[in-house]
Amino acid sequence: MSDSSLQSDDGEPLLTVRNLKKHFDTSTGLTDRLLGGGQSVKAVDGVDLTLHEGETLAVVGESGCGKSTLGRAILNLHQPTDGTVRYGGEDITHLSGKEMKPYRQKLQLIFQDPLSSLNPRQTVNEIISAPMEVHGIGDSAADRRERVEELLVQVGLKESHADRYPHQFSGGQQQRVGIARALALEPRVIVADEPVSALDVSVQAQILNLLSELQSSYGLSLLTITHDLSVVSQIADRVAVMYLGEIVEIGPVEQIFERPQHPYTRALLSAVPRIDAADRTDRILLKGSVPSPINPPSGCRFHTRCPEVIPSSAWPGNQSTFREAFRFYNRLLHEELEIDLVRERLENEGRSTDTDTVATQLLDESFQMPIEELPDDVQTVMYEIARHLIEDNREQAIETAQGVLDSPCKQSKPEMQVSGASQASCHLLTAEVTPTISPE
Amino acid sequence: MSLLTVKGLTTEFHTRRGVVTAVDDVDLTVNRGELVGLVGESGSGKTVLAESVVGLVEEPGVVTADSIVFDGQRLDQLTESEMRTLRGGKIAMVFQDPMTSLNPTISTGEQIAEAVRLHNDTGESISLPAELKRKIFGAAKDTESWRRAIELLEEVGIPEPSVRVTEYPHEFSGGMRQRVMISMALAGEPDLLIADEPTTALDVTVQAQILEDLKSLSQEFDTAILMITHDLAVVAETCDRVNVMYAGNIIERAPADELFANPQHPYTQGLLASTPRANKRRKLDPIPGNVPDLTNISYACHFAPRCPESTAECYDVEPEFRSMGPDHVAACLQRDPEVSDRE
Ligand code: SF4
Ligand code: SF4
Repeated sequence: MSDSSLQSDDGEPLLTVRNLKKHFDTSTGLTDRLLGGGQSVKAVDGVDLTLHEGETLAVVGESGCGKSTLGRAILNLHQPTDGTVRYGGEDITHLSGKEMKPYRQKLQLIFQDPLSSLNPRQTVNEIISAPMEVHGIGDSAADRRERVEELLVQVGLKESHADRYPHQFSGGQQQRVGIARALALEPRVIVADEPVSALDVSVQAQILNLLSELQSSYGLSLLTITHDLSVVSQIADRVAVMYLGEIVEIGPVEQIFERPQHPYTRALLSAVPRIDAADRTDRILLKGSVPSPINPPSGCRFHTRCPEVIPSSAWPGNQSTFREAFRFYNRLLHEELEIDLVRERLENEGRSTDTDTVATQLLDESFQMPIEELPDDVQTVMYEIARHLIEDNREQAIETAQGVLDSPCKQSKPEMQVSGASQASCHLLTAEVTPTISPE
Repeated sequence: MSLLTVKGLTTEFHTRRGVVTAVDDVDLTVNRGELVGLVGESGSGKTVLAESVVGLVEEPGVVTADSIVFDGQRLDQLTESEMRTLRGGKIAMVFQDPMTSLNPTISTGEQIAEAVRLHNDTGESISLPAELKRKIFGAAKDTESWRRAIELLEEVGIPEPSVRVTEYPHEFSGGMRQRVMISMALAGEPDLLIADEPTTALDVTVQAQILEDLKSLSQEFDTAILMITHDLAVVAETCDRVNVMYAGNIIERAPADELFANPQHPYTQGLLASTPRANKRRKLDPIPGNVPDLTNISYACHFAPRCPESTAECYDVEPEFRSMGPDHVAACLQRDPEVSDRE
């Protein structure tokens, strides 16, 4: 593993990814496409990153953030929708299968589930030597066999394992075979998609150590895709945090783990369970679920869940009341506030269903504290919005809400801000949009 | 006050290749309201142990035990139907994948309401025709069980419970579905909740929420939780006491703080040395080799082939628990009783 300081200006990166996008069309048939019924899933939506010689970059994120798609788009296993991938200065983004062949050799993939990526009817020797043959490595079968045995020893297996079949191995050993196969082509970059998440802890450590050793002995560059922040800190020099198709923060692991700049990174790190009590910090619990990548939120994609969302300048209250009102506003926009059900519930409980009662009930469900305990200004605004909604005047409700609740986080997309060797995209990091009303 | 006391439980599976001893003469205690961890890697027997306690082991598995006592009642002497009443009632369960335990064609509210009716006296009919009618024509919404379903959803932190109660399982995210499972488990006001890898399939931010929920629900309802997991950090954060399992045996047991500060068994020590931490890179010291095949294990300490401290004796003499300090025991021949080698 290289020192993180090496990456910043150490010449041309081995791999340069610019504005990479991969959108999947969900339209099912011709009619969908003609009528525009299909939608596109923006799995990866404008990713920039570089990978230098001999470094390990980890891409971390939760399910659905697009990290696996990113790995595959970089390797041209998914045809990118937009953007470029350069390997050693060459644009490989739109190469055909045939044109890709020499690069395939240099860019290898290791999978999460080793067994499903190994042909059950082939011996280990066949599995590892087949790609060598395709790429013209080794003069004869005997030659390749010798190389296979060498590789097996390097990944911690035995020469005699060459004649066994995948199912005769444990999960950890299968992953070792997968690694040997990737190494057989003398690659310069290995993309490892969740390489240890299917393994038991004791075996996982063996594989993580092996990857680190191989990397330093071969001078490999490693792009690890993982959901596991402990794995990140164990093997990566740099880390890229993804949320909903975008990288929100990227930089040296120590810097980001110690001083995360982006609110999502902060929440993610705080959520990791820790063995050592001294490592635990106050947990930042995120509300709501990750929005759909079909219609990602405007501005900062994290704004629907961000605990630090910036209040609009017109907001009469503090940040914490803004945050809750803002969630209410987002639910209003996404038609998630169901007045009929609130009314029905009140009826079932034998309570009045006049506008004010329904409004109070609706607001009480949205705010953590009873609505009457909020500052008067806040109450006035919120009641106004709720009343419009209850009186079936959704447009008016939205208009009123817009006036006081349009956060800069929703209006404009934050640019990447550089701080030291790391970068993060959050409006809190730019001076101009720092809230005029400071959170209390 | 002990709620569950298991003594000498063994679960064997007779297969063509031989006898697999998934759980090998294990004792386990869970006290009222306590959070107890059962931690181990695959093949450790942690899930089979829990299934054995509640009578869920299926053919060709055979469970024997000296005794299994739950709340003063001998579980090992109950009939299958008595056992069924207990499960989902006083002993509830939550599994890794909630989708397999939820019915996709019935609203979540009706599924929770049914659990409420089955385990509480709501005065509503639970005859087969009455239940079928609700499934086909939809739940009756002006009933006690329906109102309780909404309350339970609210308890487990589902926003807008009165809306979500009418929705179907596929309309929920993974984390929300797990919450629905927990709310169903709570319907019978259980004394013991067995949670088998409840957060393993979930994202880390969702896991954090569910673990917080489980902890606070346990307090609120005075429900004991037996948390089965492979994840040491989950145990460290949630449990009062921890049992570490390896290849069918509990090999160490201690209060959580004590276990992580002062692990004694070579396997526990190895497991901790293998586990990467999120804030510091250190040299991982993996346990060599793999978890053993449990068919016909012939050596006395099951960890012997992987243990850095093993001697010839370890293959012949079965290690009994030795006291390593207050409430702390480890089954290892190389540890002197009561004298812990604290630095
Ligand atoms: S831009 Fe706003 S919403 Fe986005 S992370 Fe920063 S504070 Fe949160
Ligand atoms: S009894 Fe022997 S083999 Fe077993 S854990 Fe102790 S030292 Fe290791």
